[in-house]
Parts: sequence; structure tokens; C-alpha cells
Amino acid sequence: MVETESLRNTSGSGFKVTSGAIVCIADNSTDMERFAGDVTIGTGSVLHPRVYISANGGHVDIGEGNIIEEQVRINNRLSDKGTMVIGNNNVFEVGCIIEAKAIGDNNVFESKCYVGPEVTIGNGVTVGAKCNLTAPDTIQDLSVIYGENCDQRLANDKPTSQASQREFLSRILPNYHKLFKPNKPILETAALNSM
Amino acid sequence: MAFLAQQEAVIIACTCGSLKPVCRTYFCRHCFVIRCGNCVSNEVDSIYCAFCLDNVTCEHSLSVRSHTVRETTPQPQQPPVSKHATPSNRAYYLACFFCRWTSRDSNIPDQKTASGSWPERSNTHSTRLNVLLDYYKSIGALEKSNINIDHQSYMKYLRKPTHLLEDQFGFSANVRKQKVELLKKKNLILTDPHSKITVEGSVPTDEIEPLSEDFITKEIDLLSIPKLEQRFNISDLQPDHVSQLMPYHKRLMVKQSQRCRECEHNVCKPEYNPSSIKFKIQLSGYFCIPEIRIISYTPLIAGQVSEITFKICNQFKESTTIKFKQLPPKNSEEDLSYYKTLKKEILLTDNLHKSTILMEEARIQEVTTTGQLDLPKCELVLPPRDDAADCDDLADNQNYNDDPKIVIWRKCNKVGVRMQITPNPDLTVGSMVKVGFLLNFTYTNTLSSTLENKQAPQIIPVDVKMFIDVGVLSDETEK
Ligand SMILES: [Zn+2]
Ligand SMILES: [Zn+2]
Ligand SMILES: [Zn+2]
Ligand SMILES: [Zn+2]
Repeated sequence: MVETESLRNTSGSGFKVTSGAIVCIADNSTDMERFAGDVTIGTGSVLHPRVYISANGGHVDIGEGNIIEEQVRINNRLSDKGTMVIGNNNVFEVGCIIEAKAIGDNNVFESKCYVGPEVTIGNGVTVGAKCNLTAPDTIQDLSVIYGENCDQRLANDKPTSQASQREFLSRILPNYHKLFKPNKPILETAALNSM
Repeated sequence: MAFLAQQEAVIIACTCGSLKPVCRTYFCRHCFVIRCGNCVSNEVDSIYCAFCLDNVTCEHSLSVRSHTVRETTPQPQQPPVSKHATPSNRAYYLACFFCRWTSRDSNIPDQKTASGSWPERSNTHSTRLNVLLDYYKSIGALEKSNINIDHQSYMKYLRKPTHLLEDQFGFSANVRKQKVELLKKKNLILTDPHSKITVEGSVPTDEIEPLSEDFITKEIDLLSIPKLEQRFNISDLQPDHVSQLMPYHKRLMVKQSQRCRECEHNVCKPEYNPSSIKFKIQLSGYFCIPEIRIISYTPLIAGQVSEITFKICNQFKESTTIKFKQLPPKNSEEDLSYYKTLKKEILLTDNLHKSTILMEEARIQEVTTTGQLDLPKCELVLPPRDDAADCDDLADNQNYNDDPKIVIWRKCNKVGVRMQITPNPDLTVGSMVKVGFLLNFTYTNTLSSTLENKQAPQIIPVDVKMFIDVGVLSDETEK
């Protein structure tokens, strides 16, 4: 993997976590390579262990109340080195790869989906499991993308709120995982973990 | 595994005359003959929904169920639909987790109960359709009542699609009785010339609704237009806006058991529970007939001797002795005696209380062999299948008196056999070299020994006609 190399060099240089966000750290030091470049994570967001966020191409700004599950890769690969803005209350399910230009609020990215760098996601959008969005496009609010042919339809309502799930996770996760403490620089935490 | 066995290079001729790969055959352990899908009777065991594996146990409620179960939404790929209860007023609506369609999208009112009496859509042409259906049914019944029991014409009748539609599956005795009653009533009406149904033909029209003015200039919103597939799924409505899409009925699935047509014993009987894939009775030919696979062969050249290696594998739990025989000459008495005439039960409409058994002759599928196989004269003994021995590298089978020219190797229940093959001299390059032989194996009938009489197990020799597509003929110069 080409990216890991660059990740290692700049590990944790500008990693900002607002208090109230939960960032789980798997129990080994190499795990710190998961965050690279300028990343901001908003209040109430939950990051499971083994989430990879790379802001080498530009700043990544993650809003409030997002759930980011295991093996999710968020990668700023915007051509103009601009900021990748992710709104609030989004759910990123296991193994999805997000390189989108911008993401609104209340979206659901199901497992293993891929959103390419030319795509802008509106609000209340559901991207189905294993759906690949690669063509330059703006996905309309309340769209549902599903099935192997990435069929698209418009839903009546936005996806159901994940607030209760978020609450549950923020109660359970601290019991079983080491958490990243916002007031400590990330390199120190890494050193602590390796001891 | 299934894929390996399904390669149609090695084909077995069933006693009914059809050609099948070994995994598509059955072996009846009561008449000791090979059976296939064409010479067993199929019976409906259970009926279930393919999406939720819900078992519809009561046969009488079946038709009701299949017309009321609403499993799906109008979108093409359909996972099961769940019923949501909104806590405030406990109204229920259908929702698809896959594409997030809900019945509210199509303006279907919420229901008070979970099972829901979801409104049936009525077809605008239903009266016309019913008239036509009645008419076709009457024609069908008339045809059926006019069958001559003469064998030739019956065979002709068998090939008619109307008959196939009705008799595709076997019916259990109960249903059969009901069907007889029904036919009886119908027959009373139909044989009476006065009550013959007539229909008016439909009249074509030139008047077509004009397109709206902005039809060409209006911008198309693709998200509001259903796809062709979605439209054709609701053929009577063919909606042109997504909000008009309606749920449609899904077919239920059937779990079948197979019965030998001759002795009426089951050859394959799956578990009643639709979610279980176990088979209570599994007499697949794959487990009884020695399996033959081609391992390698030297280039096949017309008129010249090549070498071919087969792997022969005994999948049965008793040992077997195999012998190879030349195929008897075509259409000779010996050849034809391989195929057996089969019982075929038919329901006669003019003699309603009885079903009649007719004999159906084997429909022999002709095979022309294009090569000669030099068959070994010796017998080969294959030990029973032993799953544990497969993992044992040290297991040596030295106590078989094998001719080393023929048997190249042995491992557990498998044996490598070398033979010589001569493609016909007049064969053209690139065409398939097909050989055939009669495989004689012994089947140990464990059924008889398990009974109280404590006999030694019965050993029955069984002949199987094998046809093998060895490979294409290569050019002599290429060698
Ligand atoms: Zn058959
Ligand atoms: Zn179902
Ligand atoms: Zn759906
Ligand atoms: Zn039988």
C-alpha cells in the first residue's frame, strides 16, 4: 500500500478531536498510523477501532454525531487540495471507502460501498452495500442507491435516526477499548500504548 | 464438487433411455436400476416462501396463502419485507430494507393489524380475462374428455402443452381426489352442448390517446419514471410514475420428493422443514454408481492408439467389484433389454374414480461412439468409501491382485486405470471422440441383511451404460 508510507511520516500531525467524541484505539501502537494529516472530529461522533482517516491531500472535517465503523477508510483525494467536509449524523458502515467531495447530514453509507472523489452527497442519502459511485455527480437529497446495478430512487423520508445506536455505543465502547483522550497529543498516547 | 460431477463428459444412460451425468441420476435400492428425473414421479412435499422460508403447512390454505402473502415491493430485487409498527397509533405499513420503499410511497393506507388486509388491486380487465379463462378451460376439458385411450394417440396427447401445464407435478392422493370431483362437475357441464361457452373476439381500434403538448420538450426526471422491468411486473397497470408502483405477489417454492415409478419407493426425500437442506432419503446415483473421471490422455489421432487414464471411485459404503464390457450392438435384443418399459399413471376423465396405468416405452436417446476402447478383461475390486482413510497417507492397499499394466495406482476407494483408445480412422480433426462401454458393478443390498432373517447381504450385479466424451481429435502433423 503506497499510502501507509506517507501516513507513517506525518502520523497525527494535526489530529483534533472535540471533547465528547469517542475515538477507539485498538491496542497496539501501529494503530496510530490510522490518522494522518489535519483531521477534525466533531462532538458526539463515534469512531470504532481500525478506522483509517487520511488527510494528506487536504483537511478532513468530520461533523457531529457521526458513527464510523470498523475498517472504514476516509481519504481526502480532492484534486484542489480543498477541505473534505462531512456533515452531521452520518453512519459509515463496516468497510466503506469514502473519498467524496462533500457529504451532508443524515446519510447512511452501507457496508463496503465506495464514494469517489468527484461525488457530492446531499442529505438523507442511503448508499447501499457494495454500491460504487465513481462518476462525477451530485446525489440528490433523500436518494437511495441500491442493488448491484446501483439503481437509484427517491425515498419519502430520511433514513431512521441513529441516535439511540450512538448513545449505546458511547456507553459500551469505553468499557472495552482504549480511547483517544482529546487533551493529549496523539504521539504520546501512542507511546503509552506501546509500553 | 457439484461442478466437477456436473461436467457432462461422462454420461450415463438411464433405464428410461435418457442420458444424464451421474449426479443427475438416482439408484433405486428396491428394483436396483438407475432412475433419472424423467423416470421418477415428483411429489410436492412442502411449500414455502423462498425469502423467509416460512413453511405453509396446510395444503388447503395453500391457494389462499399464495394469493394473500405479500412479500415484496415493486422494485426488482426483493429481500423480505418487514412490518413496522409506529408506536403512536400502531398503524402498520410495509417497508423494504433493501431499497427503503414503503407502502406509504405508493399511497397505500396503513393497516391496523400486522398481518394486514392489504387492499387488492383490481384489474380493469378482470371480467374479460375471466371470460377468456373460462373459455380456455372449457376447451381444455373438452380435449381431455375426448382422449382416445389408444396408446399412440395418448402419446401424442402427452406432448401437448395444455396437458403439461396441469400435470407438471404429481398430486397427493387427497388433492387428486378433489381434482377428480372438480373434473366430474366440469364434465357434466361440458359434455352438454347447450352450455358451451362462446366468447366474442376483441375489436381493434384506431383511436389512440394523443400525447401531451410538452411530451417532447418536457425535461425528464428519471427518478420518477419506473424501469421497464418494474412496469412489466405489474402488467395490468404498467404505471408511468414511481408513486403508482404496487407490491406484487411472489410465487411460493415447492420442496419435492422423488419416487421410483416402478416400485413407488422414495429415491429422494428431503427434510420437510424448508430451511433444512438435509435429505432423509438420498439415493443419488452419485453415491451408488462408481464414478469415472478422465485424468489424462495422449493426443488423439484418427486410427492410432492413444493412452487414456481414468480415475474410478467408489462412493458407496460397501465394496464393489467392477467389470468392463463392450456395448452390445445397437438395436440388438441385448441392447434393448437394457432399457425398461415404465409404468405411467394417468387420470382418465371418462372413468373418474380410477386412474389407469399405462406402460410407457423407453425413449432411447441415440449415441454414436466414434472411438474404440480396449477394455481390461480383469475384475477390479474397489473398497468402500471411508472418509477417514482419505486423510491417512500410510494406508496401503497391497493385497489386491492387480495387473500393473492396467492399474497404475490405488488409494483407498479410488483406482487409476489405464486403457487404450483408438479413434475411428474416418473421424475429422476437431471432432469429439466419444467412447462407450458397459460398466458392470456389484451393488450390496444392505437392506435385506438388516431385516430379522439375518441373511448375508445380497450382492446384485448392475449394468450401467457409460458414454465418455474423451476429447477432440488432434491433427497428426501437430504431434
Ligand atoms: Zn430415467
Ligand atoms: Zn415469506
Ligand atoms: Zn425494495
Ligand atoms: Zn424402484
